Amino acid sequence: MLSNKYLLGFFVVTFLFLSFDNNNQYFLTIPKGFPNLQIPEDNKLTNERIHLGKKLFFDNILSRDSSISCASCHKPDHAFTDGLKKAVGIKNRSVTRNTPTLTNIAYNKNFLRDGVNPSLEAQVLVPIHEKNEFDFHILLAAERLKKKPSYVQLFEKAYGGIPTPKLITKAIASYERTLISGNSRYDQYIYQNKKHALSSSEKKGLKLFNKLYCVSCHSGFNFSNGEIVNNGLYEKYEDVGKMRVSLKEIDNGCFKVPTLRNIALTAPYMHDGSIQTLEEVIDHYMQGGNSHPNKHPFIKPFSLDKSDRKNLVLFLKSLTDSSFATIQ
Amino acid sequence: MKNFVFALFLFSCLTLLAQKEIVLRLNHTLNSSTFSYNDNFLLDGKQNRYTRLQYYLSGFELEHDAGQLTPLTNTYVLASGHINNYYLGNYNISSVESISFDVGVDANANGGNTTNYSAQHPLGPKSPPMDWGWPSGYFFVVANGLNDADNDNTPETIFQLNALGNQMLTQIDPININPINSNDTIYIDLKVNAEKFLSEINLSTAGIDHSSSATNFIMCNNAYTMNVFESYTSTNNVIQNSDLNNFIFIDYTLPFAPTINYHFDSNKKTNLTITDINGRVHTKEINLQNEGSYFPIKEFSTGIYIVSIDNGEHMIHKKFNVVQ
Repeated sequence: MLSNKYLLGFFVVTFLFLSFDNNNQYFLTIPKGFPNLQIPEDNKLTNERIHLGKKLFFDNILSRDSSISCASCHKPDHAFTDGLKKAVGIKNRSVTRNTPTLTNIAYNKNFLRDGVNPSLEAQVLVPIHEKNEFDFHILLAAERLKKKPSYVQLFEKAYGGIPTPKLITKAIASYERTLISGNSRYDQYIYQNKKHALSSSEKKGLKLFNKLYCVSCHSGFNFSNGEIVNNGLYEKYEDVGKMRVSLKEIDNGCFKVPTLRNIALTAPYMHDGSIQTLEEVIDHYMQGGNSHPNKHPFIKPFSLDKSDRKNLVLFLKSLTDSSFATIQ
Repeated sequence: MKNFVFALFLFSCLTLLAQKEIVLRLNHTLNSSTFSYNDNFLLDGKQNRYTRLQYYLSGFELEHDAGQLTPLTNTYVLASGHINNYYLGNYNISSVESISFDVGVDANANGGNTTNYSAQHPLGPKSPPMDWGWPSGYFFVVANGLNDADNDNTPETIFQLNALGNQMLTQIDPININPINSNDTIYIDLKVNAEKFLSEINLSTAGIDHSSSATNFIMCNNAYTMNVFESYTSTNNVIQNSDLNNFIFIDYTLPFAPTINYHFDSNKKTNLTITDINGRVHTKEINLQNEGSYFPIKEFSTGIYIVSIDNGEHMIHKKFNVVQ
């Protein structure tokens, strides 16, 4: 039978542990109009985890030759893209796709351009192992981190353990969950009741955006329905998108509908960065895209006069959240 | 109370004593000769070589003791061409009549993440990688090698077939076996016709294919249709010694971190040492299995190194390069 002294000790320790846990819990600031974010039970956000993840995100230590980091391609001032047609990995190796934005990435249900990866944690492994990106191995990355006392300390504080593959992925995912952008002038107009946040041209552009089929795929608070579709970019796709994994012809040329938030900062566009400007993107859709059996039925030709086209572009540019672009 | 605890203890001990270790022995062959990396083998009139053969087995079910069925839940095997012995667990089984399994990883595990497991677990992070780095991304079968595309009797054209995707899971019907029983171990011997994984595939044009392609589907399906796995009767419960089958083979899939595949035809534990050409010891491991794939979790500088493996009776060496 345990004595009262031991029981009291047990409760004190438990209380202190819970207090410690609560004190360090990080509460995301969810913008108006955004739904709450689901955080995995086994990777709750804490200041320590986010701090560790951020340090790893910006540190070259995870690439084989320590020459690049996640932030080399996901640059904050480009809404976590790099401005390049296709990303560049270690030793100037060319990556096969355009760098996707990390704007509101935690709201996504699937990851990578073709949406074949369903977890933010698991997604972290991809650039580390990919030959044309970090060309490294997660076990060696963990060993490398174990040799850095500062990292050992940070992992201990964040997760109570030494650097391991699992904790590396959890920490980076924790940081990425904080990359929330919801303070564009559009947000101020729609959700913050600032009637003059958008100009009259931008408001006309917004009306057009809703009237045309844009909003069918680029829907909701994050301007994406999360689906993986073919947008008629090509008649024949060099990169077959989701089909690469599913093997189904119906997935040929299918890529994830990207968010349009901060779109003005993330040029060039499309999975392969083949379209340089927003005007050219609109031209692509005005022409109804190229013929392809999998092309989404909403992609049909339409016409816009010069002024409408300009207003639509201005509206898209109003989706830029300047506070997000300067996030560090 | 004391008597009850004692009886419970005694019962637990007896239960444990009644259990037997189940070991799956995969006797890999190439056209019925002992499997070895870099040995030529003939397939569809062309010479070929394996430089890497690895595959997952899961969904095991044993028929034993006059028709009883026991599924081996959560048991996974990552098989390699040069490794024979795989521990399946301890069970209250006296004699095994047949074994069935799947080639690949079940959808549930395949939807997980390698980092959920330790590096020692078959589903943990591996080098060379056995996954694409995300859920549904385990390579069910990896068959890498060279094919004699130009018909000069020397294989020179790379094929790299890494099959992934739930649809690749291939069920193998129960295979009747003649198990070898020792006091505390049951050996389940199977013959693995490694060349048959590649049947009806044009290896000259297969190239590098890490996907759910039709070619990779054929490869996985061959495990069933071409009877890659067959019943096999071993005459010994101890593998015979033979210097011919002691080897080290270096896998350069990651040139900056090569994996050392080794095999000793002996059931003795082995020691592994890696030195540089100046004799400086970089890694030393003791009491390893007699066969395995050893990934030195260490960053080496560019250079030449020597790996030595010994089991107290024999020692073998191999030079390998690291290119950073």
